[in-house]
Amino acid sequence: MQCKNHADVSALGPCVVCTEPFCSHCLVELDGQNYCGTCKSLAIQGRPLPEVVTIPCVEAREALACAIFGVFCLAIILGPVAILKAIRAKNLIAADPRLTGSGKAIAALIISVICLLLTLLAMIKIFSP
Amino acid sequence: MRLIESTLPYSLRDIKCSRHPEVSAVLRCQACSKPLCETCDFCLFGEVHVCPDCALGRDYRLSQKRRNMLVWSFIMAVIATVTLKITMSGAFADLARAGRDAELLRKLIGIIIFGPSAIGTGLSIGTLDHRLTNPGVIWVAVAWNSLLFAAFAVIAAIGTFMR
Repeated sequence: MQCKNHADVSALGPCVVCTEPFCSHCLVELDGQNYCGTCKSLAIQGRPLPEVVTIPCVEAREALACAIFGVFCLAIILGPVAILKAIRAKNLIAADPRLTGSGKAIAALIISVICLLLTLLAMIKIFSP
Repeated sequence: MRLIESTLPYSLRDIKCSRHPEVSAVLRCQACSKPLCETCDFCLFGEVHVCPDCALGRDYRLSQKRRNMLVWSFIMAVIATVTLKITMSGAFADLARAGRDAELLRKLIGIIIFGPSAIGTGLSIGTLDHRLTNPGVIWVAVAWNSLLFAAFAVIAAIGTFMR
């Protein structure tokens, strides 16, 4: 059996995806299985991205900063700002596979919702007769 | 992508692929700078070329940014735990019983327990990212901080209405 790319070289084995024969130069071992140059991208589908590929989402970072600052003061203003920014960040992240920062958006949502609730509770308590 | 020998960057002349010792390298991994041949080159979004190990996420190390966030979230968890312990052990009981400075006491407790636990929760959950590798130590930070944060939120809600 000859390599599909090099007609004069005998094949080492088949690619696990396309089952065509390839020589040792044309196969790459990924998690103990041999893939050819064309099929190798199937082996990394659904895996976490290497960080060189990713772009941090600025909106998510701003949302988290607003939420944490809102814990100490102006929760009634910074809370809604953080929630809006976090929702926008989540939409942006869903649209672009390179954007990271989903955790920051979730953290901003949780913190600002809890702080807003506590602030509202305190205000109800203060203003109720 | 086929490159002629003369167009190769100087740093790759006579350098072989790290996986295929007989094949000439055509570029370097943009994450770990290992030399790669065409078979080993993973071209990801935005024309980023990485080696098979980086594409699979082997030898993954947290980036400096995420590591800093994680360290700070642990520091915040320790601060919140220590101050919660001091408060629960009754260090401020006299102050509270005296009845004066109650407002000050409430603010103090808010700043020394609620602040650190909220910041810690934010930083630890912020370090998580479903598109990146998340080592178990991040989950420990998330659990520790969010337990403190949730406990304080419950205590604050009870304190506001049960008085």
